[in-house]
Amino acid sequence: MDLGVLERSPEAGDVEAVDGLVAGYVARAERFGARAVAVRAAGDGLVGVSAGAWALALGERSVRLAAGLDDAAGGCRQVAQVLAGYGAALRGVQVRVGVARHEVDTARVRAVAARARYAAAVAAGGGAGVPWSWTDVPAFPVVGSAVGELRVWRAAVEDAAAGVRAFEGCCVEREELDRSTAGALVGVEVMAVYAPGTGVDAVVDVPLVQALAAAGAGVVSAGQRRVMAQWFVATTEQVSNHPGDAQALAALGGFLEAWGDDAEVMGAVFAAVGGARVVRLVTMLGEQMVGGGADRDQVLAAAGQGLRSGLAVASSTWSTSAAAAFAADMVRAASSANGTLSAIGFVFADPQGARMSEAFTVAMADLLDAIERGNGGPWRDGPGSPGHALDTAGSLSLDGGGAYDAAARVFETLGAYPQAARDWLTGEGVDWSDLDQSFPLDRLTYWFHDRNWAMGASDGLAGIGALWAGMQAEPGNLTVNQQVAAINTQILYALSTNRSLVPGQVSAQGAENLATAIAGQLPGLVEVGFESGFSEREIRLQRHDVTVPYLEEPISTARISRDWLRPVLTAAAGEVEGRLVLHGAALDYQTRVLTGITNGPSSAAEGLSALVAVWGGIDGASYSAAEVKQYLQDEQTRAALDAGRHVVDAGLAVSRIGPLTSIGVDAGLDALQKLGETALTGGPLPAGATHSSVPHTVGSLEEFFSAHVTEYRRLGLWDRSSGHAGDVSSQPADDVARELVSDYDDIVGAMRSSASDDVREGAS
Amino acid sequence: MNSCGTSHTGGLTASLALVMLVPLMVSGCGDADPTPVPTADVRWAQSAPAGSLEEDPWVRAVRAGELAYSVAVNSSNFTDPSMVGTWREDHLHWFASTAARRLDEGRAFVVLGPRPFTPLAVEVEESGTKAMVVGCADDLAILPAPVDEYEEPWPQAFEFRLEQGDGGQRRITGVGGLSEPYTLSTGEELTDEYCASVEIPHGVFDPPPDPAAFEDLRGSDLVAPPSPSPTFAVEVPDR
Repeated sequence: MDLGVLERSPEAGDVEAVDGLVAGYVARAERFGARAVAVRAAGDGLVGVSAGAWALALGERSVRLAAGLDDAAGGCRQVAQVLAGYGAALRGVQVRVGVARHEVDTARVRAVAARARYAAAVAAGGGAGVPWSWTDVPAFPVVGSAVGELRVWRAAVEDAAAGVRAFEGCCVEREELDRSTAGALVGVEVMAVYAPGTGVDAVVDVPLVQALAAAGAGVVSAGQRRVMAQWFVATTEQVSNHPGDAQALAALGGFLEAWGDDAEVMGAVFAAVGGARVVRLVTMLGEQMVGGGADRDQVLAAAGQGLRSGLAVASSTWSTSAAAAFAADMVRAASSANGTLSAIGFVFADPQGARMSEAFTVAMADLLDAIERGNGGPWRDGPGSPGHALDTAGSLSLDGGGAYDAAARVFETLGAYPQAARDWLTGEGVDWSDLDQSFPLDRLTYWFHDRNWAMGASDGLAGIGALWAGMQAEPGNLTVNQQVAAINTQILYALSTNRSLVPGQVSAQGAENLATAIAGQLPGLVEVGFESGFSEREIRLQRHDVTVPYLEEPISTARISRDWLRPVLTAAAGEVEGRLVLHGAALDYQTRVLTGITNGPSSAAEGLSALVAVWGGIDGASYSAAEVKQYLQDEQTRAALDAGRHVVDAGLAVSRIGPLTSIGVDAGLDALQKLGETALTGGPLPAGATHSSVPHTVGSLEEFFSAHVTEYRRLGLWDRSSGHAGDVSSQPADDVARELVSDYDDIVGAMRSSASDDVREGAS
Repeated sequence: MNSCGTSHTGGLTASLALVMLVPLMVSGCGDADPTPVPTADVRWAQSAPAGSLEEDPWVRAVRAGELAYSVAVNSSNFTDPSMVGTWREDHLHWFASTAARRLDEGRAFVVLGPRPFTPLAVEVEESGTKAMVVGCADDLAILPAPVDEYEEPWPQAFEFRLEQGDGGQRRITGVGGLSEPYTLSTGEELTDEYCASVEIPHGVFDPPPDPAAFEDLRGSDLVAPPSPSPTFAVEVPDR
């Protein structure tokens, strides 16, 4: 009996992994099948309406493709079948191997025990024991009294031998199973594609089958991808040259529908198509738009969206250099004919649904930057250009940013990649921990100061605003926040005198994005920008560390003059969308401050001052925006009447407490009341049973602050640290309140003082 | 700020070449000849700054830089060797940019004298190539008088950061109010309050600069150093 055979492992292999492979191939088969149906439907439609030799050829191609997909589906089904059989057989082998090993092991135990008892009996009978292997017949005369033990031994050895034989059978079975499985797999055509030239011997174990399956996870071979790419190129050519060809368009749409989410296929397809063809195709699609909600427009728009989604997926597979080459190809094509630049805008116009990759976006931004700054001015198409038409399904809406200004859309996308956006503006490799760091400003200056983003020509600062908003600080990330502070310093400086930053020229989306950018840096801006500011001639560093009332650690913020913030804040507050964002951010800030006063570390006095600053800043800017609009309207009215007899003093219409303040006061009273209840009772009181000294309503801002000071004092919270000027702890609450209201008025005044003057100068 | 290139709003007239070289100039396109940078005489109100620290090379660099800055503002010329040799390049661009904007917006000012400053300590980094000069500074005297809505408190505890380049030249890299608490060798904290009791010599140019000289100037007339990235290449591979 050869026990050495037991060291082999015919049971090796992971049956569950095989089951997983089976499931994977079944899923692939279904996917191929579904795609075959989609492509065949597109092709069938084409052949059915056969409109010439090219249509037939196209139909044939899609039939071939569908047949190929069917073949692939069939192949996957076969693989699944083979592997399913393999898994079942392997499971059987494993069970039998287990039984055999168990049998041999228990027989061995019995045989060894019997041998021991037999030897003892021999010794008891005076015989001499001779060492012997448990598998061999004893080499000494049988002692009569121990015959029974010998019988037990013999039976056990026979059992063991049977077990070993069964085991040997399993080994043979496994070899057979592996060989036949490998043969069956190699017989499947799709398998030959996965591992061309792989011999049977190489496929005999499960890990290798797995590796091959993984290598084939792209589902189609390079050769098959080439075929598909060629078909796609031919179809795009067809659509571009014969824009009226509904069948070709449907085939293209069907293909993108079926393959649009497959990164490798899209990567191969768009590499073959190239950037220039994409520009041409988008332009052609857009030029076919007739407007008025025509059905055909919807079809064209859907094809355009499919193309854009596919390109977004494809771009995720590109290296930096591949992305740069594709972008350059697009730009070269777009520079050859008017209107085609909007195709680039179209491609980047849906960063939520179809976002181009970071590498592609950065490459395109680099190119547009070089071109515009090289030419010394904007390079863009106008509303109604093909990309704009395609993006809006022919409606030519101006909401959400038009595709006609390509740079705006590229920047909007770049804003979705915050670190790439920051580094694009500052360059990489700056040690931001150095307070006196710097970065070249020419790029930032061009795009945020020189460039005109006004409504009509562009999108009213929506795209560039999204870039700025997207790159704002990440709480807790010191290095990023230092870089952001330096960028914000320069952007506020640059943007503040951008000629397109005038209420009326800023779109709703633009105002909202500017407001989001400001909201992202609000805690720092309250300290430097609202409450105080540097004079421009003293700004020789690009950031400033400030203490925020509710934070233990200082934060980095922009080192700015209030003159820079005012026009930007005014523009943001000039549209209701922007005001909503600002109000939301201010109320969030207020909650943090009020919580900080109750739970630490905010000083009550500093906290109230911060509220004064945030309310005053935003309300002041809101007044300015209203005043500027009023002024511009008056200008128009005056021009229309040809007489300057009706000059409205907008300030008269403005109530003493601004819109944000009135909201903030309500929220503040609520918070203060809860604080009082909690302090008195250890928990909220039932409604109507409050003993808080806080009035439910206040008639003026002074009353509001006075109530706060009184209540904070009563609760022992008043000015734990002395941050406020003067000895406020002994000052009458009404006096403190009057000072705070005076601060509020100052800040409102600072934010509204000259914003309308700027417009008057600009308008005159 | 202002561009000398012709604006193209239509398509690109020339197709992109293999390698596109785009020269960018910040300025230098004004027709008017730059105002030459004059030699400035400073008349000190009481006495000129004195003391052993004045001999320190880092302090001398601060003095030279602040003097050059005031003179540069007054002559609308930020390219003089006195300026280029005492401020890191980014400051030259920044000063030129803000001054050009002031000219365009009709709020240009002249500086009546170098920034009043009393150095109190010099901290040189171990490498020997970077240093910080701390002390007390007063507001820059300008004409027309500033109309800041928010007046910074003066005098201020102040710091100058400097670095020494490969050529040995010491240049200012950053200026501002003290960024971190600083304790003087006397054990006293250097604060704004402390600075209120420190004597800070004030000097004015003689003859005084005339703000009327700016009346006919625009931002484009200002002489700025060339852009830090005068040329960059964008590769557009040919197919």
